[in-house]
Amino acid sequence: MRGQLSLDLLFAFVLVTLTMLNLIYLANNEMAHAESFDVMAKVRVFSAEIVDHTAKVYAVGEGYKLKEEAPQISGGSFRIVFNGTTNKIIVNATVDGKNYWIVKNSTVPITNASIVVDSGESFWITTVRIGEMLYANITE
Amino acid sequence: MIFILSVIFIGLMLVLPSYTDNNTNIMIVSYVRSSLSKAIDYLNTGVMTDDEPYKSTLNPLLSQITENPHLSIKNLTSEESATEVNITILISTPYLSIQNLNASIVSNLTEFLEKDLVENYRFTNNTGILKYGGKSVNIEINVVRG
Repeated sequence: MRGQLSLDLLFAFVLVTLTMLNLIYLANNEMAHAESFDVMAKVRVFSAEIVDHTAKVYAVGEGYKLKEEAPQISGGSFRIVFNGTTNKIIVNATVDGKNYWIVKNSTVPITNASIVVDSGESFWITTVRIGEMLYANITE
Repeated sequence: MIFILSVIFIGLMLVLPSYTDNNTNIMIVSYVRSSLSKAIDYLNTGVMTDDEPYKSTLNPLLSQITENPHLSIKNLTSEESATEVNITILISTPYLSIQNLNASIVSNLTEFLEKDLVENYRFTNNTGILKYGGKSVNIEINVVRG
């Protein structure tokens, strides 16, 4: 009788282990996804912030400049490109050899400029007058 | 003693196949669901990456979408038989412009799921037929408004 009980327990244990292993595998996969998704979310928020602040700096007018800070991502560096021809702002982050980028439409006229900053470094959004027109600009 | 042991073993032989079968079905559905939410999250966030399998499957789709498409999984149903699992996925978006992209969303998402399930979830892909635990998996996607 005693033997029966322990065998029963053993088989029950096998079935439980099988389910547990599957669950652990799934959880592991979710973790990897969550980590890269964290970077994506930060890049997205950062890009929205730049587009928003560019519009604000432009609205205030000539001579106004705003200090920005790149988000904290360990080992990450950012390249921010203002494309005046297509009026697009591109934010590109490189983290551990992987690239993440987002293309946003600018709501105000911008110049052609690009900067590279590391995580946590600061840079400036300024305005520049070219001829009669005022453009938003980005500098380190 | 031998009688008792044989009763236990026969019981096990009866229980184990249905248990593992049930387990396979549940694993297939949860893997597809998990891979699908990865893809939806990616599209809603709008940040591109050069990481596979996103690069070749979802980036071409994402470049056609300018704003947050607010995609969500409305319904996921599965139909299981002894040899295959059919999964029907219903995705909803509030925007007509996104719903008009229906055809490319369906083809790109299916391609992503096929690659991601093989790469990260131990599925096998034999000439276009997805398999997991000896069962073939068919995925059908639809995009609706609302």
